[in-house]
Amino acid sequence: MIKHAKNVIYRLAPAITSFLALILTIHVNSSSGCFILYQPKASVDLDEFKKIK
Amino acid sequence: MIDKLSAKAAGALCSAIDNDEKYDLYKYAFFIVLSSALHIVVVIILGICFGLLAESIIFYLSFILIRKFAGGYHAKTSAVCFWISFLINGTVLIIMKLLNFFNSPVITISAIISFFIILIISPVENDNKPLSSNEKKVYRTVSIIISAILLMSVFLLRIFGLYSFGNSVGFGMFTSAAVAAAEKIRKMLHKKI
Repeated sequence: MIKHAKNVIYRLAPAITSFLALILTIHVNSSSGCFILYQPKASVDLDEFKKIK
Repeated sequence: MIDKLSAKAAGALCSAIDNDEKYDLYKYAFFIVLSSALHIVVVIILGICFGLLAESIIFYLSFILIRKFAGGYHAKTSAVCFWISFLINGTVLIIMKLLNFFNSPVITISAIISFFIILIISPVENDNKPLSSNEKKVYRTVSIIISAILLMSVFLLRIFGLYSFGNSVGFGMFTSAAVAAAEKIRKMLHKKI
């Protein structure tokens, strides 16, 4: 069961990472990062996703 | 809870791709995805409970479209954010359900006022996400364009007799302007102190 789940994650990994990159690009290139009322402080450098410098 | 789930999801993804370097980045991204998904689910559930599903979604989308670029108030924790969002959504739906605003110009007038508030103060940056001068210019232009389009859609929906949808857009504009104004006032008061 766990092996099967890991296999699924392994297969979907490229799609998941692309999706997360898209989400971060939208997030970084807007005034209000969060979709509602909370703005988590990024502990990582997000400059690579910035389109507007 | 979302924080723990994000950490687990990021851990699973990193072990699948055999790369731990981007763990923090993926954790952050999963946090955004999961918290947004939670809010969307709440919007849908509240909409179904009040029998105003389309109105609830239209309100949420109108609010988010402006909010993304106009900025404004942010809660200190995700839990506070969740409950404030829940209260705002619930209150808007109660007003739409109980009060017979459907043929009233009140929401249209508040949408016009909201447009001018956004025109004057946007974007309102957050301490956790400072903006460069170029970003401010771009986001200001985008938020004004989106607000103008939404204001026109309020008028058009009313003209075509779709009052509840028009009111949903109007409520979305009003809420976005209110949270932007709230943050602006908070900053002004903070500066005075």
